[in-house]
Amino acid sequence: MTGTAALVVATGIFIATYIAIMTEKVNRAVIALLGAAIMIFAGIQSQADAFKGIDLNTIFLLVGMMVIVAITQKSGVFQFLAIWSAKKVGGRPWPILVVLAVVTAVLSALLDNVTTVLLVAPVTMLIADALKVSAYPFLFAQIFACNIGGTATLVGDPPNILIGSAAGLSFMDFVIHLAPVTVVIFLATLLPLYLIWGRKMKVAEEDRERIMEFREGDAISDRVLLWKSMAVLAGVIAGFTMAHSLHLEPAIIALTGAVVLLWWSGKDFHHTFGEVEWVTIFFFVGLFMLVHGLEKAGLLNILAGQLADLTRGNLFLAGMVIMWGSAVFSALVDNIPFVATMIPIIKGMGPSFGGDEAIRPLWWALALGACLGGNGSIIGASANLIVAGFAERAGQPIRFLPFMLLAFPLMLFSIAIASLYWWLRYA
Amino acid sequence: MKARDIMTSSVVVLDRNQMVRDALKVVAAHRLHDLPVVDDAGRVVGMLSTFDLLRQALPSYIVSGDLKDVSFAPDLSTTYQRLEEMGEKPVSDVMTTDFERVSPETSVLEAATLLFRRGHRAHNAAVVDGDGRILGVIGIWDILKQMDSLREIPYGGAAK
Repeated sequence: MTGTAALVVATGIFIATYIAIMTEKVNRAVIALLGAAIMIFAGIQSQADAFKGIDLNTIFLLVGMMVIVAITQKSGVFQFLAIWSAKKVGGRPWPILVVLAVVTAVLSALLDNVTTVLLVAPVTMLIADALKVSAYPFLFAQIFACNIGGTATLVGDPPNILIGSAAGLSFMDFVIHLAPVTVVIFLATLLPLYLIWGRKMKVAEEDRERIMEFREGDAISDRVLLWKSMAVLAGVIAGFTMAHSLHLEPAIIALTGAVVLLWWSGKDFHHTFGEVEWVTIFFFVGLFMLVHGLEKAGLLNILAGQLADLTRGNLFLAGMVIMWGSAVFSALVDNIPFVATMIPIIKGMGPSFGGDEAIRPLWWALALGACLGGNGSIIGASANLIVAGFAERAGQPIRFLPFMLLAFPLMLFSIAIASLYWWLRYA
Repeated sequence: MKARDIMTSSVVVLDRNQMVRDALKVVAAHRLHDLPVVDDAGRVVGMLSTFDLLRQALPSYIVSGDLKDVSFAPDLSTTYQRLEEMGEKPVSDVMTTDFERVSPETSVLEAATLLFRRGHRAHNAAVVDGDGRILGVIGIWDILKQMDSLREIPYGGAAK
């Protein structure tokens, strides 16, 4: 199928798939793969074409990092860091909120967001319990910290992995272009949280003492594994920073780290691979095929042309439209399919702006908008949903509207800072 | 063999309106893990199990399995606070309504299987008539004591 018919059919399949993903009635990986298959059955693209759309660098980078995290977390290092930092600030509630947010942000920047909150949130709840304060402000701050920290690096958040891989941006590119502004945004976000919660947090001296009774060393369940994981992780991060000059892609570095750690730690192969989030992996596979079909049908080129026309070749305008559009969109729907769709559109805008180098700032606009936008609602990012699910089980549910009432304006605030930074640096 | 053949019919029951504190005195006197709770008409409406009480005393994020290892944490005063609060509640607030009930005609094999499937969460199943009225209990002990020399040991008798 070619021409207008293909365009209409491909768009129809894509929109139907998108809606099905949003309703969350059926597993999102199943829907994405089904949509991709229908695209092939309908004759929009051949199987070979669809497979060409799968970005294996993204897939294997994700798998590699997931294996590393699956092994590393068994050492108890996440819990150790949380308790150690809480004690370092003397068990006072607001400083604890800040250091736990810092720990969350740093871990999310280097590792998987979901694993980070999954392991830090329960310890947070225990600390809040010991202090006899509400855990809500702590969890709220961690959601923000997790998504802001994830924005800082290539491996921090799935949208960045997608963007970095598609646009050929290195780990250091992300560190140089995004990390500085995420630090500013992180600090700026703490200010309103201090005014709302921080200045009112009071705890009794004896409860503060109780935090000091925590024995962070006991959280480390396997010291040997801890050192092995830290060594491999350090090696992988060093590899990422040097990858570009060595003409290596990040996927091979993550995969190498993963197999080295698997072998060295002696962990069971089947069990460890069982902990890889295959739903996410196959969701990516399905999306890649789906978006490739849409690209092949010509729709994304048309959209790229329209976006270029709309912004009249004005880089500032294009950057702002992309950043704010991505932010609002990512707050309400999954940012992964959104970014996967936006990538070919932005690539298609290259010619109108004068080549790949010229549209580089647009990638940063997309990354900032999509990653930070995830903070806008409780369903904005997977880490938010994980924290919400945990809070629900812990009997302190996070409600959609009350969360959004504070989170959405706070997210817009972060996008405003990001816009200012982007304007000063690139436009 | 059927449940009616081995069940304990002289069964200690709790009233749904009793305070947990008082109910636990009964539990302590008879050294039982769980006791049937009945309404005014003698119908079984729940089971008060020590496992459930422990579950309710612990922070919910530990019960949910989110926090598996607490070796690094000091004792939490909130646990004792919850225990105190629990003591003042009526039994009907903390009893479990998800318990095993069998008819007197149920085979011992089936009763034993039901209890085994529950793991350590339940030691006794209620034996009820067609209207749900208590006839007796069949517990793990009732099954174990089918060993010859143990048959005469009464229900909850270890306390004596």
